[in-house]
Amino acid sequence: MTEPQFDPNGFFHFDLARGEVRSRDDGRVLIVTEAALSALIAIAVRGGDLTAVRELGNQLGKRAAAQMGKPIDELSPAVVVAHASGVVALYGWGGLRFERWGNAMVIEVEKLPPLDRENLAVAALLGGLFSTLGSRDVACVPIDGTPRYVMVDPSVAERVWGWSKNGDDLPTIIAKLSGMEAA
Amino acid sequence: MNAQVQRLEELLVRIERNRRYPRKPLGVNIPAMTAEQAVAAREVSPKPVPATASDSRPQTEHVQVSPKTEVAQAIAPQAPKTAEPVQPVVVVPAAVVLPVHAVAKVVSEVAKIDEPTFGQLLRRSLSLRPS
Repeated sequence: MTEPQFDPNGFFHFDLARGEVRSRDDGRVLIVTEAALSALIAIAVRGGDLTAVRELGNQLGKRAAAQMGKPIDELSPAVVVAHASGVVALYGWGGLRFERWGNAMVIEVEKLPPLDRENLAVAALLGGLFSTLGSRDVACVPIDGTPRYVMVDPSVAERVWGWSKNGDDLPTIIAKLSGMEAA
Repeated sequence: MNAQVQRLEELLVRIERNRRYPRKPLGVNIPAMTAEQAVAAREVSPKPVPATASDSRPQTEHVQVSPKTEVAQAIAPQAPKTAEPVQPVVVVPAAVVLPVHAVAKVVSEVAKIDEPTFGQLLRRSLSLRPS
């Protein structure tokens, strides 16, 4: 079976005459600097509302899904994450790597943009991205002090986040989620 | 007279026979033994000392038992053998012995068949709950 390959060629179209940047699916794109976005993110985190960033993740997910051309239930995790990573990287939010810890899915973000101290902005972006790809609500909880995010049901996200803030490392968190004692 | 001549002739015959076949000083009266006793007597008789170095190798011939003893052993129930158990000799061709990484490769290929899709794995991840 031939797996679809992510093709970044021609993803953005720069129209200098009209002063527009458009993505392949004809959506208009605004390029924002890291410093400016960090300030906006800080305001959003203080207000406890990262809906806008999550919405950006939803849109990236749609673009990644359009590239795959097949339902994700027919594709391996590596292929899906490769497409998602390609789109996220084109928007400058870093590269994604997929890890499987038992039944838990973990995403590692390379070149994580330093937008907020607890990496909540990227967590919101990934949550929106994989919610769209998976057609269900997904929470990506950052593991404190690491560039990793564990995918969980939103109903348990706050508890997992609490474990991470209390110093539990990823193996311990996975063990707790799997109903096992930590090694 | 005839009787005296006859005894004299018999005496001469015995003397002549003793001269031809003298009696062994410590010998066994073989004709008086049974056939089995004669065989046993021959087997337990001292062996001649080897004369050369090549003849000095350990004797490998076993002591024969009399036919009567053999029959008795065949009829009697055999006692369980107490000899050391025989260890099987396993000869493994070199081609059969796979290196560890080859076995690991086979295992991973088998496991790859069961690799879930993204959707399946996502559902599993989302179904995880704190204990």
